[in-house]
Amino acid sequence: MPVASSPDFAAELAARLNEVVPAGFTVAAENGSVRLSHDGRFVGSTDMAELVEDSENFDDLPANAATAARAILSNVQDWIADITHDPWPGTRSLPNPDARVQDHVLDMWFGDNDGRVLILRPLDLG
Amino acid sequence: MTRMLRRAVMFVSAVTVALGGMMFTAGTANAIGVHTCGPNMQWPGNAGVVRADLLPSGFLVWDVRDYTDDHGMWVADVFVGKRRVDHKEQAYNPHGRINPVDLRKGYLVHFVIQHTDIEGRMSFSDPNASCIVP
Repeated sequence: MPVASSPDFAAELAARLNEVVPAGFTVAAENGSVRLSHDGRFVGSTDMAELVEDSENFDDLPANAATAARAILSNVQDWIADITHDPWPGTRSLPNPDARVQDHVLDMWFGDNDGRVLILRPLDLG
Repeated sequence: MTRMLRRAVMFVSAVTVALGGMMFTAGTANAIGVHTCGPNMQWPGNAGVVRADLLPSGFLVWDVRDYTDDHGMWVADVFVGKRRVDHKEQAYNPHGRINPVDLRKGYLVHFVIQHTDIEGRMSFSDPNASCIVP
């Protein structure tokens, strides 16, 4: 589904993260923010999805979408690790989140480009 | 009210960043005390101490610690130039990392952090919590 606005972008990223977070955690979108809760309690939220509608960077959607995705993934990852005191995803260290837009599709993952630990479902930016 | 205050703080910060960027462009960065990003940077302020470290990998990691109590609500924004590259709201002192891809050479990295403690007292990070991407 093509993404046209920051609330759509937040909703799509929240859905993809919610598919992969550990049990007990919930990722949801609310008013354009991506919000993480644990056992029903608020952990943190980020409105970085707004960057896809950055009025000063309309012609830079691919870069803005990738930056927003990296920030959202990083925040959710840190919040989970702060709660569980264990690295996530993976077991040894915190793999860096990354994202890239190619042919209007946003790819998101944790880990090095050639050693991805966890890959999220791609997002069609339309 | 909180949202209005936050927007006011962000506006002031944006102006600071814009002026900082202009001054840097004009070659007067030292006059406003903005240094090149590097290891072990610290900016003490009302909301605690903002710390940042430019790692050899190119990632910029940062955190903030209150002097007395890290509880309450924290709102943190990180800008590179006028572009916001991180934002978070959470109930304990925040930390984060900025990907090298988002650290554009020559741009000002600026941290804007607000803390509301459990008594409702609001405090802010040092408005000069900035460095220039080498």
